[in-house]
Amino acid sequence: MSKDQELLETLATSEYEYGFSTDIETEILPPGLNEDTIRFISAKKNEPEWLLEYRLKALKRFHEMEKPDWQNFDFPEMDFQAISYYAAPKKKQLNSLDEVDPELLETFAKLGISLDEQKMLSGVAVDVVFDSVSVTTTFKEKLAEIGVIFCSFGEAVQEHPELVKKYLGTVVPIGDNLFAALNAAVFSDGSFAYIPKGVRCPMELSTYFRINAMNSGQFERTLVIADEGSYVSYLEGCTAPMRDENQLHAAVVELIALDDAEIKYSTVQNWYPGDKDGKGGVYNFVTKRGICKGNNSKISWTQVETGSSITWKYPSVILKGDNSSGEFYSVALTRNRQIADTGTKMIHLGKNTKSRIISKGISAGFSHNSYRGLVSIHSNATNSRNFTQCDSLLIGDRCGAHTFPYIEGKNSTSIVEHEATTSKIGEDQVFYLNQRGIDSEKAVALIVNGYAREVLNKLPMEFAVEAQKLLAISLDGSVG
Amino acid sequence: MKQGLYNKFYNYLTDRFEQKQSTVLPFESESLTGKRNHAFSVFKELGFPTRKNEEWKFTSLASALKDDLQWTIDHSHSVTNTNKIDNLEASHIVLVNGKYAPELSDALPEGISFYETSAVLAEPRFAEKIASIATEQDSSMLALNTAFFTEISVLHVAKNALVETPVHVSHVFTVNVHPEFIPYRMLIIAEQHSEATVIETYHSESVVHPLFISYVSEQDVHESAILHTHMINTLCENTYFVQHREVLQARDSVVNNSNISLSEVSLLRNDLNFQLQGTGTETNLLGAYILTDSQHVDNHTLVDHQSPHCHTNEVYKGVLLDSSHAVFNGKVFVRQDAQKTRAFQQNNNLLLSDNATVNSKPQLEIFADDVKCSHGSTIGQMNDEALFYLQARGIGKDLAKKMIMQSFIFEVLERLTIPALQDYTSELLFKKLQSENLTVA
Repeated sequence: MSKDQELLETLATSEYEYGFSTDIETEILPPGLNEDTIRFISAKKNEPEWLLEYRLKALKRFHEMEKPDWQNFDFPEMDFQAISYYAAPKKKQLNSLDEVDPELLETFAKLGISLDEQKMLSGVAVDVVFDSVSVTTTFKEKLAEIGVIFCSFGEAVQEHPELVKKYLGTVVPIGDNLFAALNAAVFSDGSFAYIPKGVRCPMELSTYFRINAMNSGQFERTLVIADEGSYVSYLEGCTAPMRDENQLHAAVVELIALDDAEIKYSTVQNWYPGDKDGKGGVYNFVTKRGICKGNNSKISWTQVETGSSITWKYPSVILKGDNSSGEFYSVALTRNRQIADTGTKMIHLGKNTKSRIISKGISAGFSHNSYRGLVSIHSNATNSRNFTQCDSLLIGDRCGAHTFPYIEGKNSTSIVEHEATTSKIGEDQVFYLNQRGIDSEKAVALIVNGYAREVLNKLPMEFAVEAQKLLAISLDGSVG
Repeated sequence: MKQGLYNKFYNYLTDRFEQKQSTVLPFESESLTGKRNHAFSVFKELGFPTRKNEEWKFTSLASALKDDLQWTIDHSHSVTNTNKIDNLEASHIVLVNGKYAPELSDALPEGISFYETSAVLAEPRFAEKIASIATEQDSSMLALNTAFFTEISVLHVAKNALVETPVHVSHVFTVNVHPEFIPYRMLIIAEQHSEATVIETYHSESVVHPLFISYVSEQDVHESAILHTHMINTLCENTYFVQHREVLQARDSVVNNSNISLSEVSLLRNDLNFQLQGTGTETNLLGAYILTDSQHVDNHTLVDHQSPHCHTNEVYKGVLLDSSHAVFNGKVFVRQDAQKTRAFQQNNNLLLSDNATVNSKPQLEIFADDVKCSHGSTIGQMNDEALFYLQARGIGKDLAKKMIMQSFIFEVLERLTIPALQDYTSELLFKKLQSENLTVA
């Protein structure tokens, strides 16, 4: 027991590695949320009238909505008027990397992201979102050659308004939930990707989000459209500097897959989780949803969640097209006083639709880790199939692991399977490894890595390495 | 947030209560009257639950709460069929519309005793227990019962008594001249080191008008006591049955519960809560249901592991046909210090019609680390190979399907340890599957 205590303490005190903040002059809107804020943002971004109307409509819905009350933790007090809704690095219009603020480059270097040759050679196009405005985009031209549009959301609004107008808000309507409504009203920027018919995107598209300016909530909007027969793999990863005050992040991600298209969306999330008493930390309230609109389409979500003080995120798939399939692979690791409430919704509407959910939760310290999911087979979804597995691993006797699966079947030719287990790391497993000369700490890391392997394997190479590092860092000293 | 249903029947009940019409039984203690008043205030505020309430998300009471329901105090009806079970050696207790019918009941064997309403109220050790095991908080249906119940019976198992003969409590509901609301309750106390079996059957006959029954069962199982409880539901159409069962388990106690619904009941809602207060307890829960037409069966179980070294095991299986709707919500709580908990839960459904719906929600909330908990839930169809196997042996498709359904449910029934009960439930199963309008997709 005393050993456990010791371990818990070392675990709790291993500080956030990426905690630093960069001093770059930013242009900040004074805190507050009203129509004027929205008009300001919209004007700043030179948006067309229809988008302003869309935002105002969302604001109206936001004001009408109440705070959710279904979660199994205390909803943090949140003053939406105390948040600044626009922050943009002052320097803009850069033509080459040399013009980028050296301090900014250094920040990225610390995070292990490099915008230099190496990255280019590795074939990753990085659309860096530093606070709310895209600073630089690489590989854009190369992608443009084959017709792939990959740019910041603001740019997309200017250059491809017809696509944005056609798809914006079709998967996550403005009134979907409180935070989606807030995002729709105030979103500052984000990423936009369109893969034309029959194109297989030759490289991983990736975006890094960072929260930087003090007190500026980040409201990203991502829209990925895969036209008929196309394929795209999209990566998203984030780390944020250390903060004392809670920061709100309410992003919305919409994916649209048309006939025979496939979208693979991977996330590594490692935002500031707060200190060991749960002070500070990012509130990560994200609405992610994809729709398999066409027949034979596929959407796959993979996520590794290790950061944020509260994560609230349900990447979902609406399986509308016949023979479409949805996947959700997740590893969520929480420690100290973190709360992760994550899961997915698989809505089967089309015939022969398939979905697969693998969720692995690891909780340590005083943290709480929940899986909350819905599998719904509608009456027309003949021959549909779902398999769900959600496992929880507990490290320490003051943490919690919860599952709230909703399973709904309305069709007599479909099969739904759900299984869940909760346990701690077996003493026999640790003993086995000890016997072979592996110390307990490494043994636990091995066991956890093995436990999460099924999900990590689904990540693209670049991410898999980072994710494994993250798990290892988070597990530092967590031997039980 | 108030999201209750405040309909005509709600107004009728609140008026009746506020006018103090027969809500107080003769000899009722002040503390009980106090509890009633409190429960009434809870009910008055919450109203009937609607689908906005998470616990009632998939079950609507709107169709059950007819506007012209009446609450009658006098239940002196005579019955012909007391629903005896063939070949079952048991002492028979008959409750007609919740009221004890001495002329139809047997004497009980040594070690177990039965008390009807007036005797319960005269006995402070029982009277004090009423509504102290199941406490309202936010359950308006429980509060409704506490405020309005007119009949209460007690089964008491004496310390160290080993009662071999099962007690068969036959709940019979009969002739009504208007839509009726029947609230009543039961209390079972199993003293230390005792063992007893209680079989409860719910039966309704010649129900012309809708019947809305609210039944609360409180059970206090003391140290090292063993209590076997069986619930077999044979209610007929037009009957709406809402049960709340709260079981306290002290150290080393064992509770086995089976919940079999092979009836024609229109709506059945069971809330079965088990509070494992002592260490080393064991709880086994079995459930089976076959639903046809527009039947709606909702089983909510809650097992609250408050102490270490407790084991629970739960298996619920069901078959859905026509436009029926089954809800399963199995909650397992493991409190912070309930280490070495073992909890297993399983819910399997055969969904055989496109108009039928299954909502399954196996839920785990775990706050301790040294535990082994798992749950599984499936919604599926018959195994085509099994069907083919039978057909290849000259068995018609319809019959083969029935056989498969039968064997699916029999996995639960075969675990009933009393042979006569097994026969009885198998026969009910057979009858249910033979009913004429049964169409299998």
